[in-house]
Amino acid sequence: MADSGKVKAPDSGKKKNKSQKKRAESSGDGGATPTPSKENVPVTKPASPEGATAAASTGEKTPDVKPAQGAQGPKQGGQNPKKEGKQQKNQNKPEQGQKGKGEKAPPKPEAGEGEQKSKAQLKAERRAIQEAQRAAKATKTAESGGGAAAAGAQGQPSSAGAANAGKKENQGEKSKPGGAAVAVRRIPKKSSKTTEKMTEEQLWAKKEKNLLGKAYKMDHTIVRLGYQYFYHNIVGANARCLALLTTLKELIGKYKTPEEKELSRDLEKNYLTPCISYLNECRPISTSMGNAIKHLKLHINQIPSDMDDKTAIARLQEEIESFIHVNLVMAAKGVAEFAIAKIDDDDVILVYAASSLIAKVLKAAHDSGKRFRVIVVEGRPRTEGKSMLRFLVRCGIMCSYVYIGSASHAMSEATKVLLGAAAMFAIGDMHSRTGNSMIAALAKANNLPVLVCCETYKFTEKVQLQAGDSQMHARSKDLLHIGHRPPVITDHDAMGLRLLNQMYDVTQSRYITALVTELGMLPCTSVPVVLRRQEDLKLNA
Amino acid sequence: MPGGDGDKANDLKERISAFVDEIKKSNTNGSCDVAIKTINLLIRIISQAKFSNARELLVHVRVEGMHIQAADPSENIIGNIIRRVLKIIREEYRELLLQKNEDQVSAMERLSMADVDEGDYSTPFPQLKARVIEAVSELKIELEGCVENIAALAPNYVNENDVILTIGRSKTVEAFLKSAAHKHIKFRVYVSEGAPFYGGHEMAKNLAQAKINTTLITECQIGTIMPLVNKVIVGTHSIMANGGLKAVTGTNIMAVLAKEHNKHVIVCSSLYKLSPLFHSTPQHASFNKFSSPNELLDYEDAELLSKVEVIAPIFDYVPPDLVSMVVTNNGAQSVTYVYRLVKDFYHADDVDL
Amino acid sequence: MDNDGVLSHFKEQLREDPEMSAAVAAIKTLVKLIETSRAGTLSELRDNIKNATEVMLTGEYSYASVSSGCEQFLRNVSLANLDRNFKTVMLERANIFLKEILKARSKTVQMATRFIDDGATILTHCRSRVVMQVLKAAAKENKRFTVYVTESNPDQSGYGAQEELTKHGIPTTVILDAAVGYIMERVQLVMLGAEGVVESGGIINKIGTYPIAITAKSMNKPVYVVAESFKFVRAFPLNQKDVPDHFKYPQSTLRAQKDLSKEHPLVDYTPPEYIDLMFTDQGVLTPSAVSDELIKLYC
Repeated sequence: MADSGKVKAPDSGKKKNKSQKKRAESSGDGGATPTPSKENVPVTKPASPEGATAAASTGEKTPDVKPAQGAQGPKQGGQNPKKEGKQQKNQNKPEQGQKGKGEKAPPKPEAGEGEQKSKAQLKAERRAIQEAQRAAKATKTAESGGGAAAAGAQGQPSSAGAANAGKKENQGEKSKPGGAAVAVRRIPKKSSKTTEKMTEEQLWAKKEKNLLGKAYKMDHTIVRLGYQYFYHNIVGANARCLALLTTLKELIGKYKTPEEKELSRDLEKNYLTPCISYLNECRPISTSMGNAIKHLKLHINQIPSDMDDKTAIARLQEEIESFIHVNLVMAAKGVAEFAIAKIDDDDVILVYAASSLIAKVLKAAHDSGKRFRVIVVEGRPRTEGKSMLRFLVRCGIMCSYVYIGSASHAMSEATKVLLGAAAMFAIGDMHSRTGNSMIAALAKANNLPVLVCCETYKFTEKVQLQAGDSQMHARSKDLLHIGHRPPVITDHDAMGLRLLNQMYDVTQSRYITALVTELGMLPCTSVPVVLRRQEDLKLNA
Repeated sequence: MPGGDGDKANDLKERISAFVDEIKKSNTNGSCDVAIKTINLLIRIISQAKFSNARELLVHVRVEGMHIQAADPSENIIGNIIRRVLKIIREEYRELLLQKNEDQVSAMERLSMADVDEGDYSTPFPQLKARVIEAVSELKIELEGCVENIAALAPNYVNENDVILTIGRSKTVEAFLKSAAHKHIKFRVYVSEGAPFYGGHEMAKNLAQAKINTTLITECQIGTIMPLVNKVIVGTHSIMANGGLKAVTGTNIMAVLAKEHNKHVIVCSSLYKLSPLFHSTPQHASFNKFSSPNELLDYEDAELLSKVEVIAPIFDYVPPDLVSMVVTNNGAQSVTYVYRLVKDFYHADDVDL
Repeated sequence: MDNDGVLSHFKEQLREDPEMSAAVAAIKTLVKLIETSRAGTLSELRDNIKNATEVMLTGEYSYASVSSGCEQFLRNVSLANLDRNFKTVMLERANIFLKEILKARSKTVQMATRFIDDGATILTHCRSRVVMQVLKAAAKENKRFTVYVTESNPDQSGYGAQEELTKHGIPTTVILDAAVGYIMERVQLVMLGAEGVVESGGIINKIGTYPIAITAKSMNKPVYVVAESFKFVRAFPLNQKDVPDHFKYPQSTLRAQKDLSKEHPLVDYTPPEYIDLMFTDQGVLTPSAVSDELIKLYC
């Protein structure tokens, strides 16, 4: 991937040269050497690998965020580091060979440590630039597009585009208006955007740019979290929820009620809500996150108006901790207990992709002495099953590994199927990673019981009948990477070939034999009953 | 003369072993290629064979054929072609026998004495060899035209605004869809990539280049796509005698889901892929081939490789009740009619080679 | 041979060889009939055969197989264009037919054993002679498998089956007829005999066969039927009611003209969609192939 990044860069570079020159003229400083961090942004990892999906997954480990801030100054363009000789990326260049890292490979799943660092650097870089902009007050506009355009005057959009080395299309388009109009920013850009239909790559680039633009208003922890969601560094319902809650806990700690306002209203409205909507833009929030937020909001509203900030904040933080403890930690133990009772010796359990809860259940079952083996079914292109496989192997469980296309072969050996859910809908359908519905249907055809393990906090009154998530969750281009082989398809847009990469699907309740929750084993039809009970508890609390 | 014969015999031996090698290393270029090469070899074998009657010829062909089949017992096509040639020999013999006995036996009685006729195939006929070679050459011509014949049927089964789902790379299906597109029928195709061999990528590329509205998906999305699809069109490696399919891995799960959503599954397959064998359970040893675990787990994951059983079957068994119909070079057939074709093409005694 | 002679010869055949199918015994009797016949014309001989068939059907043996066997015999034997010497020709044909029939069972058995894997669990119903032979042959091939057999009320023939199989070293368990649903998840395949195979491709067999087939189908277990081709009947039942009474009730009941709505039928009809494959001496057939074969046999 790094390779392809390099390959593409010169292209975009060429397109940008015009604007570059203009920029260089206008900013006049090609040589301001970026210096390493002036600000030290504290490095905090969203905690608890426990919450993270299958602990062994490197993809999900939160990267070390190395703060690397660029020099402040209005001439951010000058600071734009040279990427392969182009002045594109605003990457901080401590000269010690961070050049390699500076080159940004397309976001994520292949992201190794180095690339994560570079992203982090990039983020930090941007943050610095944003702060500089704020300080400079030069081209501050409320509009994110304007903000981006302002930055664009110094080569930002092109850098944003270039930053994603994987995207080659239309860099010229964006940078041209950006470069062409230092002062008159928006108009040319808009017109270029509306004239042609954008490819998916362009949409991702645009989205990233938007995020960048909005990021300056946000607390850095939220920005960091947002980028982790955006680049799929944190995946899995539990992991994302945990990351969110820990971040919110920290965020709340920094809150001070402004004059004449009440904490119970202001905190939510002016402090948290913008953060949440930013995160939602980075990546649509999951049901688990949504329910956690609802819970938090409920408690915020219940803060009496006479309570002082310190106590209130302490209370809310405690509430968050308790939520995590009850719904993530204890619930997992509860589910494991009930699930273990259904695992017999000599069972062959089939699981699909990765689920943190299923991993915990299997580990607990193994530790409790049950003898069984597991078949891990893998899907593409996310290949999350591999991390599940690693985790299980490290626990000492005997495993087999098979692709979902060959699942029927595996089904003949399996005795049970265990699936993890991202959410349970009110009608008893399960929302989970794409491919689960196929496994469940195949299991039914082979007369195997399907057990879904799901904590009750993931239950939702929403109902979704079909997978159809039209929101872009994942990049389709990932499809084209076929392991170590050279990709067969190189220019799918030119050929008119479409790609589809959906992340979620819906499994109907008729395929699910039983739902295992911390309350016990339930039939799928009992989901609304549990929801009702939760409502009642909330009202009575 | 003897020298010449010896040369020819050596040449034949060489050809056979070259082919056997190719098959062992899976160096072949698709089913049609294997079929044509097998039949070419058989033509040579027959023309160079020395025999005094049909029985000897049958034995000779069978022995040579078994030798070729032994290269890869799971490659049904070789066995199919051998059996068809054996059937041709039997039929030619019978024709000649009937001609000889024409006046002695009345038509009615001939019908009723069907099975008793051939006896042990021991009557010598000098023109047997020539006739057999002619018939086998006709078969060869038929084989060569298979894919075109199937593709010609495409406009009957692909309608305007259809949404079609397919998996992996099948030259037959590709020709089928291109032929429909050629007739200016507008339809959409979803191609499932066919991991871990990724034939679907090649297929999607070819279809897109033929200006067909194509979308590439992975197997895990078949479940979400299925409600949007009109029909599923797949190719296959072989058709078993009960109408079941031996197809590329992923076809079974696709067929199961198609059944769940009530979509038709159409199989495009030439008739030389029809095998007289039954495989009662897919676990039969010669049913499936397994590929290297490297396809799934890289050597980088060495820590895992040693502790994990990687299952990478190449084929899937699709039971006949999941398939709606088979489009063959002889037209479209119901899968339950397959038994009839098996009877026509193969003789019961040849099933066990 | 007169009617009594026919009947006694028929019964004697069955007594001598309890393994013999009733149809085979009937055909042997008919061959004997032709041998000893003093009929002068072809049509007279035909009538004799028909009468003899009627007589044998009054016995309490499987109506379906006896009637189909005899009908096929008649068809086969009288196909010839005969003038003089019809008796010799017919006798010749009759003997050929008999030879084929005798080989039929072993051919069938050969087909079926291929489908029994090592380690299989098989469910079977009542005591079908052909299925017993199949299982014994498979055991002889050193395949290890276990068998569940239903009690098969009202005659409890399941116990006889268990005894027979255990003698050959096959672990067999008798289950209640009602326990078929319970046991089905453990079973790998279901193997059934048939008293008659009808034109639709379905079978007529001992009562209790239909629920077994339905349960197997709902749990995706394959159902195999083993039947020789002389059991193919010219009948097309549309449902259980449509099965002819003389198949369902013993002759004695019909003769006594009892109220049939109060009688328990002895057989039921299993439609072809519940059957996966049929093993016959004509080869392994899918149910749809059956009507093809029937046309060949009867026309």
